[in-house]
Amino acid sequence: MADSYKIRDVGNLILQHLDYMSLLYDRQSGITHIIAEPAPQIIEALGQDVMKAAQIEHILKKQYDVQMFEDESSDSFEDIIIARLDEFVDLGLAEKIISI
Amino acid sequence: MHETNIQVGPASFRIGSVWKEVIDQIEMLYASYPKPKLTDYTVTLDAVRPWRRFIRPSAAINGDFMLPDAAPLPLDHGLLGVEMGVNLQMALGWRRQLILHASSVEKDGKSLIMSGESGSGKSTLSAILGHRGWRFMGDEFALINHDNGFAMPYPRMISLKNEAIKTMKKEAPHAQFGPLMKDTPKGDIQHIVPPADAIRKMEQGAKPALLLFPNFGYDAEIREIFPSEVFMRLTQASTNFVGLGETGFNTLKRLVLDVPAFEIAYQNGDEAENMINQLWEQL
Repeated sequence: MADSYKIRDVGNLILQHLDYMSLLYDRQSGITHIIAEPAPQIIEALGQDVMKAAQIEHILKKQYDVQMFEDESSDSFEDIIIARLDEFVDLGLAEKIISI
Repeated sequence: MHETNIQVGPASFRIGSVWKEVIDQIEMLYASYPKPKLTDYTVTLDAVRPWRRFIRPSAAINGDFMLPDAAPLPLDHGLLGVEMGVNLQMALGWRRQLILHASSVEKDGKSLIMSGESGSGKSTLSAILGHRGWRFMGDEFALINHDNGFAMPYPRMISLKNEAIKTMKKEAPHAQFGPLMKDTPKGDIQHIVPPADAIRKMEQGAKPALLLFPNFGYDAEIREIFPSEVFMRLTQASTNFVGLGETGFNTLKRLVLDVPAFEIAYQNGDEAENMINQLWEQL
């Protein structure tokens, strides 16, 4: 079963879109993360909820015209979402709820 | 210990030295500045050993904030020592505004902020513009207010390095210059007192209207910079962004969202001035 993800403390994050990059300020650590698409959109889709990557993919595909440039080596959109979520976990911004 | 107090923009310093000549030089260069009674920081030049006050005098830079392994300087470079000590207090201690390692000038009530590495020409450009119809606001730190986003002046005596000394002697032959310090760790250095209006109006801030990242020594070019890159560059140019926490984040965020930013490459002051005027007119 796929793992679920949750933003640790969404109330302590400030997300500011700039251009092709966005700023994510974490009040708890005092660190500003500069993040590229689709990372900010993943955070907005997750909000305060607990979700699996497939659910986030569903939301993003409804909200945005997601286009993938596919070749043999390219990851699926879900793989990209999981990679970003795991980075959030590594940065202490999100937690992974492992399904058994 | 000989001492004097100086006021630079919103910050005030008590400067102490075991050598009277250093204080005399400071008092000469800062003669037209207000003299505060109370000060924010203390900077002192002390002899590294008691006998080094007299024999091959060697000055250790001390103050409220200190770098434990800062190398002492020969007495001839005492003014540079004071400059380094004062910079250190601001860089490590100042919280009232967001500090950007940048020069700034003002025209029509709006400010132009120029940020760049040492050697980019930001100091020299601000000094030149200060004699060509702009009000000089500072060559080292731009102080950005947290409440209204205004840039506040920090018009210390301008620190000219190497070629810039010759440039400014031509540009402002009647300005007051400090002693020439040869072969310092930063090359040849000479200070110049900012124009009188810069000192008279040093409490008057100006809303930032243009951010520039100058690059001296390259073929003329103007390139617009996106806010995300500006943000990244200015976090590196700020000494107190991290320490200010959310307040600093909000101040810098507003600056990069509100103010257009460009990188300019140029070969000389006239070329840079033309580019700046061109960008300024388009605002």
